[in-house]
Amino acid sequence: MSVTIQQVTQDIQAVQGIAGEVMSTIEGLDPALAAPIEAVQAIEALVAAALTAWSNASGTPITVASVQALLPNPTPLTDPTS
Amino acid sequence: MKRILSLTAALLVTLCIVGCTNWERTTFNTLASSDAAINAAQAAYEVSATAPCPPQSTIACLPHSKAVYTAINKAKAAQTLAVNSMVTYEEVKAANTGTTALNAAQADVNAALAQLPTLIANVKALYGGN
Repeated sequence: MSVTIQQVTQDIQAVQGIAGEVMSTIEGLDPALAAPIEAVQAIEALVAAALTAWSNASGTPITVASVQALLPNPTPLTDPTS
Repeated sequence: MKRILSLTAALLVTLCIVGCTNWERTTFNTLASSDAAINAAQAAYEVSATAPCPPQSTIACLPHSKAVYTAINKAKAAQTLAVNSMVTYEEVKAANTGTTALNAAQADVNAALAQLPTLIANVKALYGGN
């Protein structure tokens, strides 16, 4: 089975759509507009972290090791209190 | 000389300087962004481990509730699945076993990645309810 240009294009469009959705979700301000000031500040910090990560990733070579580094924090969350 | 050229070529491909596709770059950057968002949310959740989030707090703090715990853990699971799929893709690519295996690995990454936007939206929504 060979890869067609159409298939490659579809794959790229699919992942770009997902990337756009993730970034617009992170950047979107709608929930922040209805939130208190401290929540807005927290969301801004979240957005800044995500945008910085995107920017830094652009200059990072893609290898098995660099991809593995994107696994989430292995420390389990502490149990909820409620 | 030939050996040096071979090693250089192998190194360039390994580091994805010349062989990196648009799909790989977008996927990698997306995973980096979602990882940063999830880790920030986990850190904000742990702030309230010993005491409730103070009102008017200027630091990121999420309630230590079951809902927050579940949302972050679901996002971590989706991130882990997507990253592991991408690792497999890179391994298949390095093994150079053919386009069929590479296509299958790419499809797996796309399927895993498709779950991320909703879960990241759920994590971000936690901040609005803080």
